[in-house]
Amino acid sequence: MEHHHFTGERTLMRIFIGERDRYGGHPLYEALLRLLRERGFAGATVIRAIAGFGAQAKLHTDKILRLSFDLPVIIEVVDTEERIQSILPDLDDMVDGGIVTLERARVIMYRPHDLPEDERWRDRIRGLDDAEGQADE
Amino acid sequence: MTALTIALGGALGALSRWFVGGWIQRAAGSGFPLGTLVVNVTGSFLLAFLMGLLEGTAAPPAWRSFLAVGFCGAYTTFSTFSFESARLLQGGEWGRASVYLVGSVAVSLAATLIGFRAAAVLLARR
Repeated sequence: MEHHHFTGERTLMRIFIGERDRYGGHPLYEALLRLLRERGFAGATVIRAIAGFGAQAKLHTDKILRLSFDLPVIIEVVDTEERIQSILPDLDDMVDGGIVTLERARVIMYRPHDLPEDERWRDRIRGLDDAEGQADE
Repeated sequence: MTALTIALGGALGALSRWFVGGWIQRAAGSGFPLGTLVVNVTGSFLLAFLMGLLEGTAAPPAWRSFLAVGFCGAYTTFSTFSFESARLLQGGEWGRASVYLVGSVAVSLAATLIGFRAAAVLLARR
């Protein structure tokens, strides 16, 4: 598995865009998600917000029907600094308007669903007091 | 013919709502649905005023389907009023929800009565 020892100091990238932004005939968040998957990123999460405003100070909120057509969407990506850096030229091309932030993140757990028991021990959350003494390699 | 005038009035009414409501909501810049409120109040006035005029003159019935059913019907929006009221209530915004619910009904009703009165005054002066 490519991201097996993924825990540790990583970079969290957040891309703030609008629900209605599009790229290549698809919603921009879908296009970004597809790109991140194709480039083998560890994972990404798309979150739709309930309200917000951006560079044009235009209010978006799901409370008022007329202002609910372009709600904020956030794509959160955690990966190595190098991999994040490698995607930035594509982002610059694809994201028309928005904000991209980077911050340091400490990944303490990264594992897929349904791991067999013996492998699950190796991927335990870092720093947990471990009675069986098998957690840290 | 009736369907055509309703469709035409409806298209114009819906677009008017979109632009008027959007402009007012952006100008208000708050989480209170002022755009819908203004649209419903002005639409209520307009419908009463137009019906007062159309009933008091020999206007062809096509005007009624165009302006009253089509335009005013699409310009005002009860479903958006319900939707936004529900959203305010779900969010626990009791104050805003009360003002919106009571205000929309009371002010729209007042606007309707003023619309009738305005039409009557206008007809009496002819």
